[in-house]
Amino acid sequence: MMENQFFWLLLSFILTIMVFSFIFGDNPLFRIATYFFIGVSSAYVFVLLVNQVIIPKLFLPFFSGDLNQRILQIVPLFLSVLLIFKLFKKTNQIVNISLAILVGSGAAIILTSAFTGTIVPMLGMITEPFSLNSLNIQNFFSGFFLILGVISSLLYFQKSSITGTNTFQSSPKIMVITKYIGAIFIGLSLGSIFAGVVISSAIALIERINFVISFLYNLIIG
Amino acid sequence: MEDFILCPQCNFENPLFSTQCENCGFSFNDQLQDKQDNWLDSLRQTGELIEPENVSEKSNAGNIDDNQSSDETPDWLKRIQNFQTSDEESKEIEPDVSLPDVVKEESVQENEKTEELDWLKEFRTISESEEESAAVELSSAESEESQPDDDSSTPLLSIDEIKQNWQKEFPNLNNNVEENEISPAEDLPDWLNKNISDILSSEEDDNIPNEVSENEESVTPEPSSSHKSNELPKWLTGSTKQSIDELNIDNDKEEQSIPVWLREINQKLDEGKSQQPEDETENIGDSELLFNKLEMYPESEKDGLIDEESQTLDIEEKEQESQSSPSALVFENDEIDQFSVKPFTTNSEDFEESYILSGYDSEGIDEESEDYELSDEEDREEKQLQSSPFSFDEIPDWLEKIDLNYTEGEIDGIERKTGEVISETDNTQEQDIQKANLPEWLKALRPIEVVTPKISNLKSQKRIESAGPLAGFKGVLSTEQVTKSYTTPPTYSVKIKLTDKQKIHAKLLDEIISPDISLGLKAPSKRVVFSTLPSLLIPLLFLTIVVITQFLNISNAKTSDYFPAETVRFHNLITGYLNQNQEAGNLLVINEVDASAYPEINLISGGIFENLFVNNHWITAISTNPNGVIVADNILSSAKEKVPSFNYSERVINLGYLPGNYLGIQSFLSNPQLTMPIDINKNNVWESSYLSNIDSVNDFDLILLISDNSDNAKLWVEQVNLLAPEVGLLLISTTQSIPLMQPYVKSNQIDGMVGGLSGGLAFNLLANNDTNEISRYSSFVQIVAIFFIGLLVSGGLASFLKKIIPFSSKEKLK
Repeated sequence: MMENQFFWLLLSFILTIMVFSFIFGDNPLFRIATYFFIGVSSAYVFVLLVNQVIIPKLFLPFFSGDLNQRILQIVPLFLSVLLIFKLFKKTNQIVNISLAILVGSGAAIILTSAFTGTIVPMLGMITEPFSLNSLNIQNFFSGFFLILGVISSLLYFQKSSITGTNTFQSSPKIMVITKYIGAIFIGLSLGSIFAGVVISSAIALIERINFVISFLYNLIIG
Repeated sequence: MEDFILCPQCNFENPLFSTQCENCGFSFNDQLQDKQDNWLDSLRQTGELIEPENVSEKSNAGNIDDNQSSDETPDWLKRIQNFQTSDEESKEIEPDVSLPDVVKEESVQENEKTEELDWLKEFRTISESEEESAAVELSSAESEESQPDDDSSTPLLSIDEIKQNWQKEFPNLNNNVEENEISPAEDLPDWLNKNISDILSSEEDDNIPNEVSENEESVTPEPSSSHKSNELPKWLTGSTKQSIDELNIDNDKEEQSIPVWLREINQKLDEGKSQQPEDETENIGDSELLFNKLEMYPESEKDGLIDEESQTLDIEEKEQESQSSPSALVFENDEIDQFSVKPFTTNSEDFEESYILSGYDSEGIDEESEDYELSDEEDREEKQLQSSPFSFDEIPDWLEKIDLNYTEGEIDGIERKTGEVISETDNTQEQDIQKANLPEWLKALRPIEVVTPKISNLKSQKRIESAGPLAGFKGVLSTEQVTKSYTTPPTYSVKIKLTDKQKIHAKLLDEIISPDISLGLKAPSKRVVFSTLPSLLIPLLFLTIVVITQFLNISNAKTSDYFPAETVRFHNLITGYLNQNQEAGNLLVINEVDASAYPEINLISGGIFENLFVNNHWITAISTNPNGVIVADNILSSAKEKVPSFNYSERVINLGYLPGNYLGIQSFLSNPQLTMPIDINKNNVWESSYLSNIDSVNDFDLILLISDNSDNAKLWVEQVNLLAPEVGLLLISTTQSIPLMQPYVKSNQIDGMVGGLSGGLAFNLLANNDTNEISRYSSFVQIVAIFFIGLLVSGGLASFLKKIIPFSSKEKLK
């Protein structure tokens, strides 16, 4: 057991060093490590899909399920078989049947979930500070900043112009100012996201260096 | 338009459709037919004829433009014009001969010798003496006709010039030519050779010109001269005596103008048969090569009669020399006829006309003339077939521009000398050698330099062997030249047809291998090193800081006393809500975590799961990310190690991977049993485990969402609020997804959230868990964050200064 752990620790140590070699630029060690990870991930996903999706959810119901399950199972099986025709140019349009069902049902789910799960709650959150029941100066300003941030950010991405007007004519000053404010809000948002990415990456790096140091420490000292 | 046909012989007016003269029997059809058969008529009619008189007038006038135009005309056109002029003159003579007006007037101009010729032709039939005089007159007249042609055809080469050219051009061949010497018959036309040979064979002592005697004997053997005089028209009888006397006087005068060569021929004939006809044929045969050369300059052939006078002296000499030195190549008469180009069709026609005009039997003449014409046509066809491909009209300009200065050096001189010695010794032997009947292709052979001058240049490169058994031979080792003449090997372009798949594979292979090659080969420049230095130093510095922090005892780093509200709510729900009934709660853990976020999630969620394990809650794990299955298993496994009393195998069920993304989420939240019937170990957990009490998602006490991806987290949040609004939703998020998930927390769609290390530390502090490790990591992150902030600020300042400095320098320049 301990030997197996050491092997996997050694392998992970080597792979970690190989990935760190990217500090000196693109090199074969880094490429081998990345291809190794990609290959392992792909193989893992393939095995996972076969073991956990295709066999248990596509074929097992034909043998273990009742008649209703078997009849219902024909539909996904049929749609899955149609996906095979994607491999052939002459018959690739048959796949559109399966894809149409997937896209249509997915769009329906996304639209409903986005509308009920994101847009309506966000609108309620934005307008909540201005509700008469809880209206005060603090909520008003916070609500004002929220509205300002939403409107200015949306106006920042407004690049179109009304037909008939001179596109080269400078936009009104209020629009320009609003766009600048929107840029500030967007910058702050992206900055916070970037900081979070950096911190998450730093944590991963620290964890790996900690692993390397601890592995070397344990390897040397025992 | 005249309503009658005027007989050219007797000037009798005949009906319009008559074929013969009613008075003298002159055939009009023959005259027309002869004119039609003349192939040169077409040429005369097509081109614009330049009369010699006009040309001379123009030349005398010194018209510069005409001279320029004549200079600009190409050589081939000049030759055609020369043909035309010569034909024009002969054509001008022909009607005069046929016109009786000249006879009526009897005031023939002496300078118009063509008319005199016609007179002589008419009186040729009267007596032999008159025929002789007429023949002499004819030759003299024709020689005079050749004068303007010679003048007008200045570019044409004489026989001597051709010889010189041959000597320059083919020195080896010149040896033979000089040795054999061109026989006089070479320059004579075929008809004359034939006639001479016939005359010699008949051994007649007459001094009649060949053509006249032959034609008299062959064409009209029956009628005699007395008959001819009786058949003269009436208009001519009155003045015959006077005209004969006058003509005799004229003939005496014009005998002086007879060419010397013709006189000598006649003298030789008188002397009697001293020369054998075979010699003549041999001489002709010797001159075949020269005739081949002359084919390239047909003007000399066409004007053969005209040039005779100028060549008589040469011919005499050549005759004498040919007698002494017979040539190696000897041809028979038939072969000579095949080879010799018919040179003087017009002259033969003139002779026919003369016979016609003399009043002989027209039918006999017609038959003979037809046979003669047929034989001429056959000869022409044969000559066209047998003649060389380089006829006069087809001779390119480059062939005329053969390098005449070509010499083969001293070696050729040595060969020449040796060849002369050999030829002198062999000449005596060759006289006894019988004539050879060479094949046609061999007779048509000519020096290769005539065809391809380039090879003649190569010929000079041939080497004479100086040693060995091949010593003295030239160019026998041909491969030696080949080995010396090195040429670059030919290049071949090969196109390989690649499929798209092969191209992709090649590209992938190139992408893998090419950096390895370029890494060691390219020497980086100073500018590249300077630009890559920061990219190398910053990571090294960053690594150094991180490594140093590992050895620092900063676990007791100061944390903020302020806890985020969502983290407090999260803690309250986990520790309070689940434990409110003093029973183990059912918790659904959704893993939306990649492997890259495992360290952070493991740090944040470690304390949470420890708390859950301590309280023995039922945990059901599911993941919409394939990697999330392993991450969730590792997180739970690592938490289990800290809580050994927890029955992990019983209380933790990993349903594994949920496919279908949002469709799978919606399906799972709608019907979890049908969507995920088995767990990761393929056990039907919905019947045999604690999950048998759960029919839907709403039966779970809490839903714990662990995500590092805000998009996937939103899907779950939206679907849970839509399909399971009654279930509390908690979120464990990485630092990077906090800003995007914060609105859902603010909107109460997420009941509690632990975000990042700060959130995990806050939860552990609230739950009184061990915070050593997470606080240590948070200290590292703080140091790294400070380092990053410093980098960002320094980078910003550098970019700011970069913008300012060029601006100020531009201002200075302005």
